[in-house]
Amino acid sequence: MAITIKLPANFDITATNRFVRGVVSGQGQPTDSKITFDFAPLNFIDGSGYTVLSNTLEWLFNHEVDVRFINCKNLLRPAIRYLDDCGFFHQYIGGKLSSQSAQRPTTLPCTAVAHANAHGWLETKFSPWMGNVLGVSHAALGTVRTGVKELFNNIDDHSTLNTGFIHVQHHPNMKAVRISVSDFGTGIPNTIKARFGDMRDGSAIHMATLEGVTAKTKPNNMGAGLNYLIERVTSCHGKVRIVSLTGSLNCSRAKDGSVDRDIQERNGTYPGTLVEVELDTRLFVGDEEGRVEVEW
Amino acid sequence: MVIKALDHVDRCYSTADGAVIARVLRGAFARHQRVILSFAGVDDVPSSFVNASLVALMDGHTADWLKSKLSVIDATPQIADMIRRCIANASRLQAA
Repeated sequence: MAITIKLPANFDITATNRFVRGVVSGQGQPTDSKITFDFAPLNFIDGSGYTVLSNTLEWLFNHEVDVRFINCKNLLRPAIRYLDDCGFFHQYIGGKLSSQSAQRPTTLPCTAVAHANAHGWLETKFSPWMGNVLGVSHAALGTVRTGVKELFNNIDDHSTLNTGFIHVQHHPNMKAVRISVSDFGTGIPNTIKARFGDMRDGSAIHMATLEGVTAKTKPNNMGAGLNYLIERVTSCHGKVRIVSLTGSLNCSRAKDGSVDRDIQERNGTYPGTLVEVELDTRLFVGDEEGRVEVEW
Repeated sequence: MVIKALDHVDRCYSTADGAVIARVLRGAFARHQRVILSFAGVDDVPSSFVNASLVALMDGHTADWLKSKLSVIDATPQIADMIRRCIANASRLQAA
């Protein structure tokens, strides 16, 4: 048997569940031993779509699925050129489509980062690139780096796999930077439900983001990471979107300054967790610099 | 007594890094009335590190006990914020 999966025409975070539904069965296994991805419908792909695509391919390789691509070489199409510039085809078919393709200054392309290496990657790759985009120093980015470290520590704490995919994209026209981090782990809802009982997946994600809610998957896990990320990002008028299993949560700053958390249920299961952090480049406020004694 | 975190770990990032600092602090608490922890050279810390290094010391103790034994210096505003947040969070969980 072999099946063909058409890539979404508009491959962003909203297409995630629909795309993965064709690849991952309800039992969490590949839907076939041979899967062909048809790139013909693909008109647009953003960082989250690219992250999910890469994460999915690696998951299929781990399950020894025979993966093929068709209709993927038309460089007249912007989405194909974007993937080529990001190094996607170099990674997965052994060479660039165009000798002219090169990493764009607005992109920190999708990379598989093991938990143990995430700290070094954030210090040497992410922070200099982000500092350049936001026009701030390394010191001013402490909170942003910490937010991403929280995601990688979550992958290590709650996932059976310890590698995540991260892609960072600057959208100058939208005055935004989007950081996408994805893993194919247990999924936030499964972790929460194992401790707190059955509930809908969107509600479980919401619960996981509240201060002090912890699944206690490790003795010192006290439940602060996701809430920290959301509070800090939304305080600068940024947004955090989380997709896991059939649930999703969109977080933004409400008019009264609190955090608006919009819970949604989706059709189709994303077997893991995708977190998209969006920073507003006009309204971003970096950390104060300097050293202090902690006042109790 | 001053304990510099980076004398004991290469980075302040993971639960494992935090567990090393917790072990060092427990030993220091046994020998000294008050211990100073320095974060010189550390730019930022996530919650997993703080929970494993400092909150873990509250096992059987209150936050006030920990504060009476420990001072933290050379912290960036992010580090200070994360430490206060994690200890407050642990206190809430203890009280619940």
